[in-house]
Amino acid sequence: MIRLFNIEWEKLKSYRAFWVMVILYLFILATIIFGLPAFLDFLASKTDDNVAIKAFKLIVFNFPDIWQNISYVASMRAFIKIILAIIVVIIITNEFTFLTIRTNILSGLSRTEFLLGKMEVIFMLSLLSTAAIFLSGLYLGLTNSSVITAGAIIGKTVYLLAYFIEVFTFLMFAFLIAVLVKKTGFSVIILLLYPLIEVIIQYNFIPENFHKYLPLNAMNHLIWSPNTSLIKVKTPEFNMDFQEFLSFSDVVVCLLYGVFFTTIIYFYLKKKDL
Amino acid sequence: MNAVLSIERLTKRYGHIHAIDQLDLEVEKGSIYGLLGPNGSGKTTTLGIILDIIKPNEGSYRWFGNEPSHHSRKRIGGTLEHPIFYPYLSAENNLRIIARIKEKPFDNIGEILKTVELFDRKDDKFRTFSLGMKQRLAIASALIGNPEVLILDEPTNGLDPQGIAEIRNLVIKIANDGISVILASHLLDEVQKMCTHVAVLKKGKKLYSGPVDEVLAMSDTIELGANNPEILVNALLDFDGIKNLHKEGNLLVGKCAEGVSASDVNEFLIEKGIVLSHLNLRKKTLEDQFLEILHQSK
Repeated sequence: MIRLFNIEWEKLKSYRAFWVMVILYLFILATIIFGLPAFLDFLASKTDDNVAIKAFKLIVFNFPDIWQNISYVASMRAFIKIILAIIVVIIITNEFTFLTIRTNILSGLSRTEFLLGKMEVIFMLSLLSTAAIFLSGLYLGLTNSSVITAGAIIGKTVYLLAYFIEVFTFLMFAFLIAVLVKKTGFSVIILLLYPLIEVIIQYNFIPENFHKYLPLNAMNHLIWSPNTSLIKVKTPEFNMDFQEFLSFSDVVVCLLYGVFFTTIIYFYLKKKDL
Repeated sequence: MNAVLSIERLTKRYGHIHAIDQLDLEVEKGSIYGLLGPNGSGKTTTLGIILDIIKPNEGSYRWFGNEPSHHSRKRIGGTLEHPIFYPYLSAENNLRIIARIKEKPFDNIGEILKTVELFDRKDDKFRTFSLGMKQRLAIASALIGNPEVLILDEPTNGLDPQGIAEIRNLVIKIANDGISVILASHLLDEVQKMCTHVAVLKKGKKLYSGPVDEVLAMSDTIELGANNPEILVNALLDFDGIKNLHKEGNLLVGKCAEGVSASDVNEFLIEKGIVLSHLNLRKKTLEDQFLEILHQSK
């Protein structure tokens, strides 16, 4: 396991484009996460009647709801995490366009090891992303939350695990596209168009009961809405459901997709000429 | 069993085309084995299969007498067609990846880079290299981890004459250290100068295989001349050691049958009382032999 990671690390550590993209991703993620409270402060300073805005800011960044809200924003559809997916696509398609997968295999890497090595990179990228969410959530919570107790901080951190699973599965999806398409540009285009394609398929061919089982929907359904302890009151004008807890079946469906993507990649690599 | 590599009835089809067709090969330890054939004869496909890049349709191969696995590949140093590296990484970085894959230490990377004269450029990115440097780096990559077998696919492609000579000397030096070498080439001269054994491929089929000396020894051309050619021709009618006898200017030219040497011919003619004014054995180049093998297969 460590050997496979070392091999991948050797490929990435002096690959400038990779680090530029990772930093860009973290920068955009941070801008959006930290931009929100700054934006609310800005709005509050512009209006005289800023009580509502201040209240909103308080409840959104309150422990423990902040974990759900922040991971909801960071994991929305193919929004910010698409940058990570593009990084994955580039890492994988590089191996095919430069044919370096051949030198990897002929030097003594098995095809399964190739798959596992890349999965370790994807695991680390997901972990990095989750850590970024955790640290920014911790900071924003500590500076904004009205409740700061250990229990409140730890509560709902399970959403970070859900976030990790969602990002990991999404990146495996990017891995699959990259392996099947092999060309960098084309893979990125498919990745960018896929959310649109899925919506078209959803409304034209899939019965409504099954909508949430389409890949992107299934991943997205893990954390499908933000929540705060205050917006539970329903009025005729404001009648929306909010996610109260993580559904075990949602997690299973998402994980099954992860297994499904991995299996296709595995058999594809096993059988194909490289 | 001293076979480093044995290939049995290996077949690879691309649609209707047989890239290789029922190929059998056996490479013995310590030999420099040349795979010779025109472009598209299946050399690279064969190397691709034994390195697990290409999956065969039929047949099998064994490395070191065992079922092949990625572990056997760690004992092999290989290059395939064009030099393949990560263009955005330095030469040294690229070699470190291979050392990591082979689970070999990094300490001799510097030494290997010196061997192929790239040590000064070790920190430069691969994409800044000239073709000759890329070729040399490919050979360097094959040398990592003291392989027991070296596989080289057209190793002198794109090199200048000096570079070609250096590579040849390097390969021969490596072979002298007891490392077996499998070399694919379409250059006859290269195979003749470097290899101990050769297999000639055409359209995926093996036309010939054996020691290079033997191919060269096969049916040498003999030139004969005498003051009276008429008598010489008549005398040679009784001698069945020479085939395809024909006139070339003042000389009679024919092919020696197997095991017939120039002295056999001379002895026979002296017994007949004929004195030769000219006797010459034209040593074949591999090229003549190669063209002949290809010609016979039509």
